[in-house]
Amino acid sequence: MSISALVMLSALATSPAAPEVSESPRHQFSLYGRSGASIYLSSARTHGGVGGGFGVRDTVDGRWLLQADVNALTGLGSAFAVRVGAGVQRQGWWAPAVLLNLSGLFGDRLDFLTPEHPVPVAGPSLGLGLTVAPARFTLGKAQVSVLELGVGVGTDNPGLGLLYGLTLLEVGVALW
Amino acid sequence: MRTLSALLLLAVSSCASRPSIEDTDVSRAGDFSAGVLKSNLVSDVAALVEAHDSDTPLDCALFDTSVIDTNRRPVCHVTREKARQLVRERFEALGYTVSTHETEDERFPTINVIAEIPGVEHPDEVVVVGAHYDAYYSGADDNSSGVSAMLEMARLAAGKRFARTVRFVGFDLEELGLVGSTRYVQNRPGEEIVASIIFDCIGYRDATPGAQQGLPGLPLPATGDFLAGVANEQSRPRLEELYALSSRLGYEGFMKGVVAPKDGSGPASGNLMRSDHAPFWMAGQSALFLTDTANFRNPNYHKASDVPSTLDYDFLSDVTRLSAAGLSFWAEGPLP
Repeated sequence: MSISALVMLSALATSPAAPEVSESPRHQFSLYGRSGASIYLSSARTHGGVGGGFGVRDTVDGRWLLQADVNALTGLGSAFAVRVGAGVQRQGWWAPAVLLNLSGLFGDRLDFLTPEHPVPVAGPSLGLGLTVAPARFTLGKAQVSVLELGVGVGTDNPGLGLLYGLTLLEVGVALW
Repeated sequence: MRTLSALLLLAVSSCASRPSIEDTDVSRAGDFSAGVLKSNLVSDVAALVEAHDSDTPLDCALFDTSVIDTNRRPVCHVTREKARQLVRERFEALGYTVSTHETEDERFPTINVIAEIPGVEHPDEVVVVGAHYDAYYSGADDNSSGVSAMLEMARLAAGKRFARTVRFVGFDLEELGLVGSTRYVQNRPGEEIVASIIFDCIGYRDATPGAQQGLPGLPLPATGDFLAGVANEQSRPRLEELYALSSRLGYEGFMKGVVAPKDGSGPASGNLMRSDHAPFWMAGQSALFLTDTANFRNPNYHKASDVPSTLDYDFLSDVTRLSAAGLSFWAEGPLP
């Protein structure tokens, strides 16, 4: 994701807020952009790269998070990552969060031929993991998070893969 | 949710199909490769090293050594003339009609040495076996090992008939930036290359744990006792076939295969592009790079200590046999 896109989202987020309503909506939808890296490492393949993307988030009752994003990655050719996550955040301006993520990496990658995998493993690299976002803040209609870390596991059937994720910066804005 | 689960299960459990290799092809490849003689490899490496040691290096004035890391690239110690002559004489002694691909250049003229067996059924379809014959210092592993494997395969193929054309190429000036191979590929645009094997450093083994250095993103073992076979996406079927052949011929686990994405030129796969296969890849041609991983294993890489006594000739023999099996399979021969 480009810096200009992040700045635009920040600007949107800090624009004058709508008149406050007495009661928070049960579902708070937001659009976010992120930049970072994702890498899946196993004995059969290395998949991922650095890049960024966009996602949508539903914050339920101000605490529960449901989100999905799509990211373009480069470094090992062209790849993209799809992440679906669910988690919980602290309520308030400092809103650290923990999410359970299911990630899929698609596209170019390094493949390795091994006795267990004499031909490259077909299909995307999938991983289930945990992401922690300790430096996450809510500023009006905006959410900003820096340095999120994620780790997960996946299978190459047979074989174990490890999925690592790093979000350098994520900026979100509530849609309504 | 059920649909999502099914899709995930399909993605996880899906498996690419293995290459189909007939028993008769395996048998023929095994018979052909069994002819590799370790003693020939030993003597050819010795002869090539003697050629380099007795040769006059390229004029150091050709290089601006103030901007070249001469520890990594000791450009004042490049020799090639006598090794080229030796390769040519060996090809001729085996009965080949030898040709050269010569490129005039003020600083770095190159001469690639070529021996060929025209295919009897598909002469326009070519299988290339290549190795660079220039070297720093004695160049035992880099690349007399590769040249000796090529010469031994040429000996096995000499006088035999193959369905496809078999071509052996000694490349010039790989050490100065893949110069000879780049010019060779550029000189033959559009040629139908069915498969290529490029040897570069294939004679060094060290099974001591920790002897093998890794590369970021490449899960290499800690022991340096495997052959690395490197392909790009276009060459992937050939690597899968060679891997299957290695298993069928009893070399299970001997070769580690690496497939770089797309044409192999991505920013994270630069170390996989460091030999004469790279010009083939960039031209959209199939090429496999076979190596002992050079400086990631061999402490003598580009040093005066790269001498024959440091090589493991059983390892070199196995690499040559596996490669000869690949040649037999792809060239479809020898025919009766």
